[in-house]
Amino acid sequence: MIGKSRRIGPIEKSQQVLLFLSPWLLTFAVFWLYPLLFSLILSFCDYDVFHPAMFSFAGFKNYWRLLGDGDFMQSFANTLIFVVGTTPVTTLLALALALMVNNVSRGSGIFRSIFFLPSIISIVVTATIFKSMYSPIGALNRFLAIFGLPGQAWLIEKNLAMPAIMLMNIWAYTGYYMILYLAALKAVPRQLYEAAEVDGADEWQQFRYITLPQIHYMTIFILVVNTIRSWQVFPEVFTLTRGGPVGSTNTMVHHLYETAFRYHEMGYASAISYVLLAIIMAFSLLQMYVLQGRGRDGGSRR
Amino acid sequence: MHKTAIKSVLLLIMLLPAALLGADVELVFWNFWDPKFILPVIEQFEKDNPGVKIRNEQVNWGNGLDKIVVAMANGRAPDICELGSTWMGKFMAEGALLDVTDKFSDLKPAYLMWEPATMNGRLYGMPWLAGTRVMFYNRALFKAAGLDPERGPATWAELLEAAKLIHNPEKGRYGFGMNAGEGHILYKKFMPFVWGNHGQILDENDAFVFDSPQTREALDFYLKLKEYSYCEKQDLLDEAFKRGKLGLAISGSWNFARYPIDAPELDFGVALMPKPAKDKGFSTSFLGGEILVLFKSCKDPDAAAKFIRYLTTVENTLPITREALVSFPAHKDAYSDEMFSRDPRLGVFVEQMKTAIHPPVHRLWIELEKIINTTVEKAMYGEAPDAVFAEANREYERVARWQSVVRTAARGSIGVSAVTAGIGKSAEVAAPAATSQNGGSTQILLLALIGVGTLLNAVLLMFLIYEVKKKAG
Repeated sequence: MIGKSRRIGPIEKSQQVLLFLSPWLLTFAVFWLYPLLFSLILSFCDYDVFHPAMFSFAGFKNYWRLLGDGDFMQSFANTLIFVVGTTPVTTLLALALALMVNNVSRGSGIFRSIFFLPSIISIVVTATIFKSMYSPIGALNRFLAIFGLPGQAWLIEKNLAMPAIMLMNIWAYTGYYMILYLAALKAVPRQLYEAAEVDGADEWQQFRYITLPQIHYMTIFILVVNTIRSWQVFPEVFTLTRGGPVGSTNTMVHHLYETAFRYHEMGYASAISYVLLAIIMAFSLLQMYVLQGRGRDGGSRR
Repeated sequence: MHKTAIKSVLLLIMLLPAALLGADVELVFWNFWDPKFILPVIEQFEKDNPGVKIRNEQVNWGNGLDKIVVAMANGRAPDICELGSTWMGKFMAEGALLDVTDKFSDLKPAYLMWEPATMNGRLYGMPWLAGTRVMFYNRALFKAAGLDPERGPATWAELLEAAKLIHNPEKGRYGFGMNAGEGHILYKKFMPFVWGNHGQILDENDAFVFDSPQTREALDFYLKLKEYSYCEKQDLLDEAFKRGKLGLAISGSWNFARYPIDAPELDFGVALMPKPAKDKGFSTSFLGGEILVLFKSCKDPDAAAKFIRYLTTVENTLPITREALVSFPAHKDAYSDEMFSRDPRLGVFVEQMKTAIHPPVHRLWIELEKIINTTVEKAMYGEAPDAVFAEANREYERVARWQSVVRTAARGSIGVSAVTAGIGKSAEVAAPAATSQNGGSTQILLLALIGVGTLLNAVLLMFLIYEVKKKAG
């Protein structure tokens, strides 16, 4: 290591690094940084795509308007319900499945594939299948009828549409997070369990004091990523309900989409997207702060 | 020897794009159809018109409008474009389309659907396809319920009675198929009841008159009908009807492409939409269609118009519609085709089209559509009619006020609008100059943005260099 750094000077090396990074940096700038900045500026402007020449500065008008916009407030509440309802369930379920698959002595490969299968299907396809399953004469109601339970119009009832979307979302994404958990579980050194067994620790104690701390960083990762994704929920809503019935499944990104592409108010839509960005950032930072702190205290003594 | 060969190859490579670009006019055509229907027509057209190339690009109904709007904003609008007729009000009023009055006016006697392509007496598109919805009914269920299977309900009362008699959810049979859970299309199903009852959305002076005794009566009836209805989305309603679970449903001709193949034993009839009562109102339905338009940026309007005239002929449009049966050609001669006489049920669509009503062609239509959908949907979910109509009026006030602010600003800055477009040439001529001026300021803004972006990038790069140096050193 030391020998190498003497042969190649630091500046030369940094140039090499930059050379290799440049394709990424370029795409980052063009497809990420530029739109990000552009939409930030847009959020302070009035911009109707039919009148590009009318581009005018509007100050905080768009942000003020958000506060008085009932549809936006409803979409915020809906999204919050969605996040709170799906993220913990998906994470816990993924962990439970991963533990089970990890402990199955035979055929773990089959289980792994089966549980992972939903996440390789396009979410639009999944949603289309669920749409017919959720219909009053669909598969779900017929399944319920076997147990003598009354059928429901899942996507038509105001109070059932959002839970129905949440259920589908959980079904579709649990497998993916299970695979991530499984990878983390496989990396836990076997010796730790052997040592614990010698010390007489029972299964729960092993899980609590070895498994959980060892997969702590994966848990943070999954929670943060899952929360971000849940805040941005869109294709499920667009395919299943388009925000209906009566706005009960209108999520923030769907509201943003409608504002931008149905009513063509790009400035206002950009303001919504920046509010969403702020929310997501706040949530992620909070999660990382809380979880990482705890990880250090009660965590792995390496 | 060797060098000349290389040189000639290089020359060839350099000249190739020029040869490709220089020879022909290439017009981009955006439409919503399976290319297998469109490409043969284009091929034949190109053969007959050397020097004109048409590039076919398919967009889909899910995001087609977004793509068109975004392309327009970026100055990359297609030369020729298919637009849904309910979008026309907005596009025409915003001055996005090329005035084609002198290109297609001579075709007026031969085609239907000019209304959505016309604003202030000027023509901004060519009708291509037209379609409507009628009442489907299941003959077997009608017989079982003791109703006459030979004719559908002629009045609201008969419709309600038929739905009531058939409705039996325990046995998996439902009276009427009512659209729900897809707020964005409710107006297509509800407005026929309002229109047939002499109700309107906008009156002759463009005042918002949706909240009227006529509309309230229609809503009242619609809510009564809901008691005997199966509430679902359109595709699932069509599916339920196909499986013989629905007595009645308002649907479109596309079912004729599926029912006979998927469910040959399904015995169904179609009827004109019912009218309010024997001696009251009239039978009407939703009329919609497809308009072919040229955007202002069209490279060669004359060649494009030539292609549109070619595409909209009966010979070229009928094969497209015959396959999918979503709608019919706008050309009147198409209706003498044997397709309509072979199945008299398709003839009902032709009959209904004569009385069907196109939604208002208005610059605020997209917003109005939402107001109507929301009103109907909220009422369906149990809100009191007084409350939903009051909200509709409030919402219209807000939208109209908001839009008038935008319009005033628009007129001030670019000098073209629905009103001025109607005045004629002077505004048309004045517009480009004004636009380019303002375009200049937009460009400066964009340049400034790019500048900021580059600066930030540079900072990021320096930071990276610093980090790498620190690590290495």
